[in-house]
This record gives sequence, C-alpha cells and structure tokens, in this order.
Amino acid sequence: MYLQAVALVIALISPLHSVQADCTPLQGEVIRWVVPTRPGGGYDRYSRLIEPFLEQRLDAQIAIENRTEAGGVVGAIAIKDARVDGRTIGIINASGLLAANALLDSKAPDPIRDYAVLAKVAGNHMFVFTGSDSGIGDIGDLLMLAASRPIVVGVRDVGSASFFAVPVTADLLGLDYSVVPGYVGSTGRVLAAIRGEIDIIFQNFDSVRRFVESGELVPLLQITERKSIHMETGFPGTVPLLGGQTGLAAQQAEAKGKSVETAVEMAAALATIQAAGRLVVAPAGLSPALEECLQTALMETLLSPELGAAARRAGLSIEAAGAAEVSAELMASLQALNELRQLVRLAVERSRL
Amino acid sequence: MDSEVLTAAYEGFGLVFSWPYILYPIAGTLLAMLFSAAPGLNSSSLMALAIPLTYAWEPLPVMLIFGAFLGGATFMGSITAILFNIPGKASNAVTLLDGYPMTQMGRAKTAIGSAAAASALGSTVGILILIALIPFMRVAAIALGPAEYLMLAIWGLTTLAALSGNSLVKGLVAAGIGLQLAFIGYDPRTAELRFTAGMDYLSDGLSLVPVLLGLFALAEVIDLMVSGRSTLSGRQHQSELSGDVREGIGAVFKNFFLFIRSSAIGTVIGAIPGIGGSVAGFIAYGHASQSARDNSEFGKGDIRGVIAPEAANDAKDGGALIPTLALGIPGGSGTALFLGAMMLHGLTPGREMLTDNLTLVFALLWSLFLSNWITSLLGLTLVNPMARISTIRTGRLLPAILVMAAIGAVQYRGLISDLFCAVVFGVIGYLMKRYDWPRIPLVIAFALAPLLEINLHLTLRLQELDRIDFFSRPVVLLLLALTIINLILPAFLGRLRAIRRLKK
Repeated sequence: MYLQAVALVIALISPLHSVQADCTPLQGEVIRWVVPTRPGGGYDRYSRLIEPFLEQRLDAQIAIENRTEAGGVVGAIAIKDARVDGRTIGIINASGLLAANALLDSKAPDPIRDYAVLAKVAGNHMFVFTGSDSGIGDIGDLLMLAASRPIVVGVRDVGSASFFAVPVTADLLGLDYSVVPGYVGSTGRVLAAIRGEIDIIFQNFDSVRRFVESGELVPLLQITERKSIHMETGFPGTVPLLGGQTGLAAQQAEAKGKSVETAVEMAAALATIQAAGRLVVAPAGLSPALEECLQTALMETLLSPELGAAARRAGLSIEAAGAAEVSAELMASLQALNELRQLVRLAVERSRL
Repeated sequence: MDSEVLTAAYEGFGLVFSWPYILYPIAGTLLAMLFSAAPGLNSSSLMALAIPLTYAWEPLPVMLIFGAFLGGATFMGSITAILFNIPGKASNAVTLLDGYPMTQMGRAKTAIGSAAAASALGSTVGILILIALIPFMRVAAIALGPAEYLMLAIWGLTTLAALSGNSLVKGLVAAGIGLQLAFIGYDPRTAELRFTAGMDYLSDGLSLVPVLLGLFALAEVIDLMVSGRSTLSGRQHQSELSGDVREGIGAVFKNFFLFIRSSAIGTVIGAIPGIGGSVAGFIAYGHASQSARDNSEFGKGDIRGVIAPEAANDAKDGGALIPTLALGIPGGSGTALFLGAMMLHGLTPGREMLTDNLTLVFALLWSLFLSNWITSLLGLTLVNPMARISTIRTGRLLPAILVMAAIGAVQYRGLISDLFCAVVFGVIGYLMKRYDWPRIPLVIAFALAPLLEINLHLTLRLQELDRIDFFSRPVVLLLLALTIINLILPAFLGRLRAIRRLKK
C-alpha cells in the first residue's frame, strides 16, 4: 500500500516539473533497439512494428538487435549496461524480470531500479492454451484430466515470465503438474502443444493469435480478473477467467473448502504482475531532456493512427501507457510478487530436482 | 500436384518476369550484393532500411524486392571465405574449410566457379522442394520435434570421425573442446550461468563468427607471417594460377548426387525454425566427407568440400520459407525482417497465405530464384579479378585481411570484445595448425552443440514423462539408421579395400 501511494504521488507530481525534450543529439544517429527474444516472437514483432514510425518521429535510424539467451536476461542486461546516451533502448518483459529478480536470486536486472522507463507498449495477456488434438476441449476437461495424472506444461526456462504463472495457477486450481523446461521461443512451445508433446502452455495471446485463429490452439483460461482486451475486441468464444469474485480460482477454493478471499487475492496478484507487460526502456541515468524526448516520441508513435492501423493489420494490440503510469504498475507488481514468493520458490526447487 | 498450385506458379512467374516488376528482383539483388560486400553492412541492415521505405508500396513489389534481398546476399560471403579465409556470413563459414586451401593451391577460380554453380543450382533445388511441399507445408513444419532434432545433431556429430585427419583421438578431443566451448554461458533450461569464470563477456556465450575468424582467418595470417610465404597462392602471376571456372562448374555436375543430397539437407535444416544456415552447411560438409570413398583431401582443398556447403546454404533459403510462410515462424533475422514487412502490408502467414495469396507466394519464390541466379552469374564475372588477389604479395595483402577480419568480428554482434575473442582463437588456431590438431571437428561440434544440448534435455524429459516414444518415430529411426551407417561405413569400406588389396 505504501509503495502504491508513493508511486501515485510520483505520478501526480511528475507533470508539475516539465522538462524540455531535446532530440537533437539523436537526429541522424543510429539507435540500437535490443529485443531479448528471437526474431518472429511477440516482442520482436512489436519492435519491428514500431521501428519505422519511431524512426520518422526521431529522424534517426533504428537497428533492431535480437539478444535471445537466458530467457531474455542477456538482452535485458545488454540494455541496462549500455552507454547512457539514448542510443540504446529496448523492449523488456517487465513481469518476467520482476519475478526473476525478486524471487529467483538471478542476475536479471530490476525493471524499477535499472532502467529509465519510456513507455508501455502492451500488457501481457496470459492465457492457458492447449493443442486442438489434445482431447482437452475446455477448462473442465483439463481439471478432469488433472484428477487422473499430472498435467504436462511446456515452459521456456525457470526465469521466464510464464514460469511463475504455472505454480500459482496450479495451486489455485489444485492441479498436479510436471514442467518441461527448455522450449526456446513462444513458437517452440506452441508447436510442442500442437504436436501433443505437452498438455498446456501459458502464453501471451498476441504472440499466438494466428494459431488460435487457425484453430490449432484452443484457449482454456484467462489469467486475468477481467475479460482480456482480445475477448473484448470481438474474438469469438468464451474463455473463463482465473481471477475475480466469480473466477475459477474462487470457484475451486469454494468447492475445496479453502479461503475464497485468499484465492481471489492470489489471482489478483498474478494478474497485476502480468499487467506490467512489455515496456520500452533505456539504461537508467538518461539525461532528463533525452528521456523526455524518447518518452514523447514513443507515446506519440504508439498513439498515432498510422501505427494503430499497422498494428491491426499485423494482429497486435497496442495498450500505450506513459512512464508515470508504468511506474505505479511496477510498484504494484512488486508488492503482488511478495504475496506469491513462497509458491514460486517451491516451484523452482521442484523444477531443479 | 494441385492444379491451383500450378496455376499460381504460372501466374507468379508471369508477374515476376513482366515489366516493370522485373526491375524489383534485379534492383533487390544488386542492393543485396552491395550490402553484403560492404564492410560493416549486411543483408539484414538492408532489409531493416527497406521496411520503412517500402511501407507505402503495394504487396507485390514488396514480396519481389524482399525475395531478392533474401536470395542475393548468400553467395557473396563465399568469395571472401574462399579467397581470404573470412566468411561473409556465419553460413559461409564452412566454405572456407576447403575453399581457402584451394586458393593456396592456385585454384581459386575453380573454387569460386564451383561455389557459384552449387549456389545457384542449390537454391533452385530448395525452391523446387518448397513448391512440391506447398500443399503439405504446415504439416511438414509442425511434424518434427525435439527427438528428431536431437538425432539430426547426433548424425551431424558422427561425421566428425571422418574429419579428424590422421588422428581420431585428436579429432575427438578437438570436438570435445568445441562442445565444451559451446556450453559457456547461460544454461538454456535453468537460466543459470556456467563456465564463465566470472567474466561478463562469457555470460552471453561464445559467438560462432569470432571463433571461426580466429581459428581460420587470423590463424592463417599468423601462419603467413611466420612462414614468410610470398603470396596466398604461392604464385606471383595470374598466368601461373591453375584451374578455371568451367572446371568448377563441371565439378558440380561430376558430383551431382552429392550436390542433390546436400541441397536436400539444406532445405530440411532450413525448414527447422531457429536452427540457422551455418548448421546446414556444417552437416552437409560432414555428410560429404563421410560419404566420400576417399576423404583424405577434405580440409586440404577438396572441391566436394566447397560444393556440399554451398548447395546446402542456398537451398536452405527455400527451406526457411516453409515455417515463415506456413506458420509465421522465421528461421533467422533475414526471414524475421521479411515477416515484419509482410505483416505491415497485411499479409498474415498461415493457411490464408497458402490459399488466398498463393500467387504472391510464387512471385516471392521466383524472385528468390532469380536473385540467386543473378548473384551467381555476376559472381562468375568477377572471378578473374578476384583470383588475381591470390597473387598479390602477402606484405600488401595482410593488413587488408586483418582489417576485414576485424570488421567481421565486431560487426556480427557489435561487440569490441568479440575482436579480442577472435585474437585468442587466432593464436589457438595457429597452434592447432602447427601441431597438427584438426580444427574442423572443433568448429562442427561448436556449431551443433546448441541443437544437441537443448533437444537432448527436452527429449529425455518428454521420454521420462511418457510423452514421446523415441524409438517409434519414423524420422528418428531414419536418422538413427543414417548415424549407424556413418559410424560403420568407414570401417566397412576400409576392410573392403584391404580385402581387395590382398586379392590383388
């Protein structure tokens, strides 16, 4: 609560001391945009979508660089350790980094301390999916299957964004599960689910939209408290929610005689962490004038009708948010993580056995 | 074949070769060649630049020019690999193993001719396989899993025995070192650091390009300085150079079945999402060496060591389009940029692309086909002036080679530290050469290790959880059979030769 209040105060007072944006040092320069995932994944597609529009606005050339190792940690470190001159920016998975940094004793950078946040591009709309030939038609089928054997879940690695969603969701639904780590990139996991090697994957909707539309992936559950933006924008079908007073977590807790309130709080915490989403950042310590320049250019780009039209054509959703709003969300996520600490630590131990 | 596919192929052909659309693949190819030849630039930077410039274009010209960008960049990197031991791209790295020794023997023209022919014909085979697979593309792209990739890596590694030169033990030790070097960095499953000795640089792992540049290009520079050889080819005048382009082209047809097998290997590996072109070349090279009746000249200037990787490298471009078009999964940065350009124009990969937009798909394929041929033909016209470089005095040439190697090392990831890495491997490479330790097994093991490691873990885990049955998968069994053949064939052939000698 205290952290949220501080963030709110920062968000409120930040417009009062306006800084003059100065983009001249970047004009005609090459700006390195680091993507911590493989080409073709969600982060890469967002980056390449924004690139031409931001180039025009900044009058600079943007060079996208994919640094894929270690579940995105290497790319995130590359941005953090870059020279603080505005010529290196990048996109990060704030939810994954927050979790890895706060819970896993990893070398992952801290999204709150190590970066200057420029803008949020989109939230993580985490869903549980299964392959169309898995024999699992809906979440009811999954729960029934889980009663007979552990559910097999494919994840990237122990520090990835989806990893901490697995134990929390499993705990809320009372699922026994086995993790298969090592699937590189979202597409690796998707293909594994389609082939039937694994039962389910936890995946951001945007990165697998085309497989859902083609009918090869079936969404089973939304890891949110409210209907996701994708369901609101006319996507067919009804997919149950994990969180909220009437969500699946609450229903399962009630059925098993557990505390409904605790279940709702845990599901809310998980949703809050996911909401931190995909952020565009620069190394911490950027001069206020450059920071203002990049923040303004990015927000103008993200809110422009041209980018909106291109995003719709590419099947990506833009949920732009400014730095102040993102700071408040990150603080809330950090607090939520503390509530899930024990569960995730247990899951990590289990995966290393 | 489906009549719809044939009609789309015909319409696509008509579009590419009609005015003014023909200009797009031609201009795209020339630009791609220019960018791949210029220090510090590559085809990816060209595509990144082109995305905003082509934003307002219609989809057809975009497909045509990006098809040319994809096809026009591969061959140029082979020329520097053959002439200076410096690969233009990681995928051209294998060509230097025999291409550069051919230059040292005064046969650069033959090597370049062979590379050009294998490259153009290999891309044609890749595209033909792609066209044949269009109706089954999605199934083909999804069918292979960790078990198949694991066997593919093991199959590739079994070729090491044939590439170990005089000492199998030295070859195996070198391969072990290659594997160990590839394991430096983050564990792909647990994201924990390993073997980094506390050095931040190593947390990212060692990159193939600086390792290769060190082991081969810089090691060669040291060797040239120490040996005092006057020119790369040991000859002072062009008239003293033996070999010619026709001999090189003819060699591809003489080794036609090897060429076809290598092209097929390239297409299949290109179709595996995220594996990359360098692996295709290495596996094709290993296969060429393993399947050769006499492989004693591999690594010393055997023309088959040029044909196999070049055919595989260019065929893999066609293969890489299979997951890109069918599933929206790019094989590397080039296809990722192409995918980005496609999606900005509202062209979504998947079933729709392969049904409603099939003519556009064929326009892309014909453009790719045309650009591969233009690149090779233009490359051939440059053979004579380029071969002359091998007669320039080393005193004048070495600074230029050093600069090219330095740019190559730094350009790949933009890290100055990669230059130091290349220097360290340069010394290691020179010592290995001097004391007759084979470098090729080290490099092949290093290139194949990531494919091996991650798929070994995944396969073991899936088998443990009873999610796959390793020995009931047809492709696994096929690759297992090929692996066993790889292991026993050399011994069997040796025995056969010994019996024949005895009989005589």
